[in-house]
Amino acid sequence: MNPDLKEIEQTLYELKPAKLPDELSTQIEEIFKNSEQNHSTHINDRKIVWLPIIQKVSAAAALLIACIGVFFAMLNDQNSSNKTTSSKVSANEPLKKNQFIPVNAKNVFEGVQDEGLFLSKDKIPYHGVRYQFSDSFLWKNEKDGSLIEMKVPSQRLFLVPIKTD
Amino acid sequence: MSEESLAKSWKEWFHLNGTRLLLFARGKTKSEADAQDVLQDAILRLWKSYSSPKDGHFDPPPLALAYTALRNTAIDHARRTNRRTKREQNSEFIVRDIDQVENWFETSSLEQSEQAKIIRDALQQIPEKFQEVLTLKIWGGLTFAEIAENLNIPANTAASRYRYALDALRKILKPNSI
Repeated sequence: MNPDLKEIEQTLYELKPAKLPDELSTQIEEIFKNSEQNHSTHINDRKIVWLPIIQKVSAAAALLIACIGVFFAMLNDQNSSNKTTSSKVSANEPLKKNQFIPVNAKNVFEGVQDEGLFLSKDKIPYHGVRYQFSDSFLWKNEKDGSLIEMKVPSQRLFLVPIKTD
Repeated sequence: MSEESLAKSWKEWFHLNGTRLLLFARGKTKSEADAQDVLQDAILRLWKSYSSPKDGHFDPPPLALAYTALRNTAIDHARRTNRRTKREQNSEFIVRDIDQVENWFETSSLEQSEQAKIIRDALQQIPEKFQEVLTLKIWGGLTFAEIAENLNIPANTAASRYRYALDALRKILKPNSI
């Protein structure tokens, strides 16, 4: 290295950073005090930033629809099994070989997708929110216990009007 | 680790590294007040991220991470300050900062104080990317490998920037030497 550079380097190494102003030191030490309080602040600071209000409302609506869907699916399932019982299969009558009976139906909320903005024919802007579900059905063979499971993806598009005034 | 010993270890860490962190912050900001604000914000960020027993972190962060936090805080601070400056320029009431000129280095004599001032002024004149490497190497306590990792550059580039920084300082401090 050039002797001049060596000299400058040496000069720099001889310099030590200045002490912190007392006021600043005190202020920073205050951060470490009341640590419990800071930790609770910390937890608050890290809270999840939720979806905007409109999307929260939409998500709640979708969950409600999903719950209703599951309820009706179960009701249908129950009705159909009752019908079968009353019309064809009696308690004493043996099940036919390889007969599968539905045992479960689920409607699971998978996620939400932003579909952007739409403009209707009336020039009203809508915000499209697509909700994705997974419908699963389970049949069981009472004879040998074998199961058939079917999963069907489904989705519903909601158009939420945007307030422009 | 108890809350008390946690705070104690952080205080010790800060006493050990506070001066070099403030020096780095001074190089990243335009005024002493900004440097102190940036240091305070960065320490608060680090404390919040690293001192929570819930996350399993107790110890103060590695020094290299503290420099990264300082750099990011300085960038955020500069953005805020720029916005504020623009607002103030558009406003009828212009607020001017009265900056205190602080000594960046410890001095025990008038001569040393003068030399420290000259070096401080020279450091402020060289390109920021050179000054950053120089500060981290000489006063920051980092190796070239650590500087390279911290700045996300190859180690050779860090070493080159260090030499360029020294050369740039030479041109300012000793303009007549070859």
